[in-house]
Amino acid sequence: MHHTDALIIALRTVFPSITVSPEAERGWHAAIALAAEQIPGAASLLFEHGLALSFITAVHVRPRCELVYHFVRWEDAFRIVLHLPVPENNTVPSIAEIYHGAAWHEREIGEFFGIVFSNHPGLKPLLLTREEKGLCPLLRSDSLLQSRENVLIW
Amino acid sequence: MGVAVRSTKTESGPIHYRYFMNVGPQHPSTHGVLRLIIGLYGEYVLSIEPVIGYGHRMHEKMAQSRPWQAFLPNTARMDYACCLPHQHCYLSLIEQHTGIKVPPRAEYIRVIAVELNRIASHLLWLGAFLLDLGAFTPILYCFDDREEVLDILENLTGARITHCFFRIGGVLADIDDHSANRIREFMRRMRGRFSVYHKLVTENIIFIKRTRDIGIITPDMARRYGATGPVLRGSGIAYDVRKQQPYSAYRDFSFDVPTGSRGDCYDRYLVRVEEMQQSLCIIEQALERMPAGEIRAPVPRTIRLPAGQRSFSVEGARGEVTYYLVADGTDTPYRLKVRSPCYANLNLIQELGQGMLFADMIATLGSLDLVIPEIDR
Repeated sequence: MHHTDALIIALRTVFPSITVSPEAERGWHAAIALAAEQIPGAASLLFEHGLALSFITAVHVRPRCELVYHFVRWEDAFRIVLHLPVPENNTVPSIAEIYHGAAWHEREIGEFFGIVFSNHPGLKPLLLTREEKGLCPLLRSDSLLQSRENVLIW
Repeated sequence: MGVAVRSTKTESGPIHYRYFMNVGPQHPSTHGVLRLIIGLYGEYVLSIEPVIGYGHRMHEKMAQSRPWQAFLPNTARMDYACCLPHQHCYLSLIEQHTGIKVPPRAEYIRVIAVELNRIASHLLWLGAFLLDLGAFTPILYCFDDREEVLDILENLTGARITHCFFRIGGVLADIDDHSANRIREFMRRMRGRFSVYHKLVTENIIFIKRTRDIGIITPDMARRYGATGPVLRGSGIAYDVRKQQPYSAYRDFSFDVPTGSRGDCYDRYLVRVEEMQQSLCIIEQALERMPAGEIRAPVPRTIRLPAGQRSFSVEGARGEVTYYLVADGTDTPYRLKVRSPCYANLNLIQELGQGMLFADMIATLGSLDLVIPEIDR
């Protein structure tokens, strides 16, 4: 882990809540919970430290959806996960300006979960058709919905 | 293909004509149901907009609507050309999450099957890529070799493609002496074939002219789009999950991670050809040192997924495959996300293709080794 220290130190100064697990028991070495407005800053920091975006996805939980960002560093497969509860206005800043590949992931999340990404270059459907606008197939019905702390265990 | 003409007046005065050409969704060079809206100035590409989703089946919705076992066949139906890494990834994730230990012999059999699948996939790519470039002969040689692999895999798994061979805690069937001998025979044959491919393709002047310095992907571009696999390694980055984060039995084998230096189509070709040789090397070591013992761990009849989240990554033929699971304690995943490598690899064509000649764009698209159902999921 010694060679990952510079990144961890840099992240810890900005995000004191970071949890580090060198053995990557759950598949990643570090995880951070952050607020919606912090995501562009966090993405820039990770980009400067040479990490690549693996994928972005969302999980529908109570009270609101949670976004999950996976980043990886090529040299040692160091993986970091960012957790971001979607705020009440259902809008999250896009990181497509920093990681261009994020644009498609955000479009996909937009159509599957109905989450809006501000400052996105073009938030149109990616995999679904125009007629299926507003379908949001991955949103769960109330009876099947779990609260955040029951399923998103670190 | 349809052509529409529009004229735009630029600030500098003269009128530039910009053509919009529609390629696909059904076109031989798109390797699946992919549509590209291409803005052209003469033969030069100004913009590319991929339109995807024609083969979208919502696998992730299926995953969260049925017990986890029932999703096993789905894992073979995304990357149909190299499906075993997907299955390997999904089962390893479930096994780690539930604490099931896989016997060493089963992991060796998994590695052999996955590497055979990788060779079959690279051969399919090689033939189809050269067909895109107008060379008809190589695909006949490639399919001849691929047929041998498919016969072995059919004998082992019961299917020629969309194999469903791995089971929780192990594999469906053992590699007996008969199968092992067939694999050894194929390895002997395949090792003799590389010189044929080198003469036919690597040293072919037309092929070199069509691919050298064409479609150069810089490491920076690869990082911004999240490219992985041979597309990334062609650009000189030695990122291979089998090496950087060894899973299954990969720690037991010595193999190289081939990389390119320029990041062009030719480098990506060289990387994939070398990878086939490395896969043969891994299979040889696995057959040689195969431990005796069970091929399946005893597992309980019903397996519930403990509440929590977990991810697992493997190296597929096209790059990093990641499955991300959120479970709520029942036997049905609460959420399952599939990260497919082609999704990121296709995404970068939008930037990469700008300014290219149309024919070079087709060569570049072919060099990315796209399997569209994996992108659409």
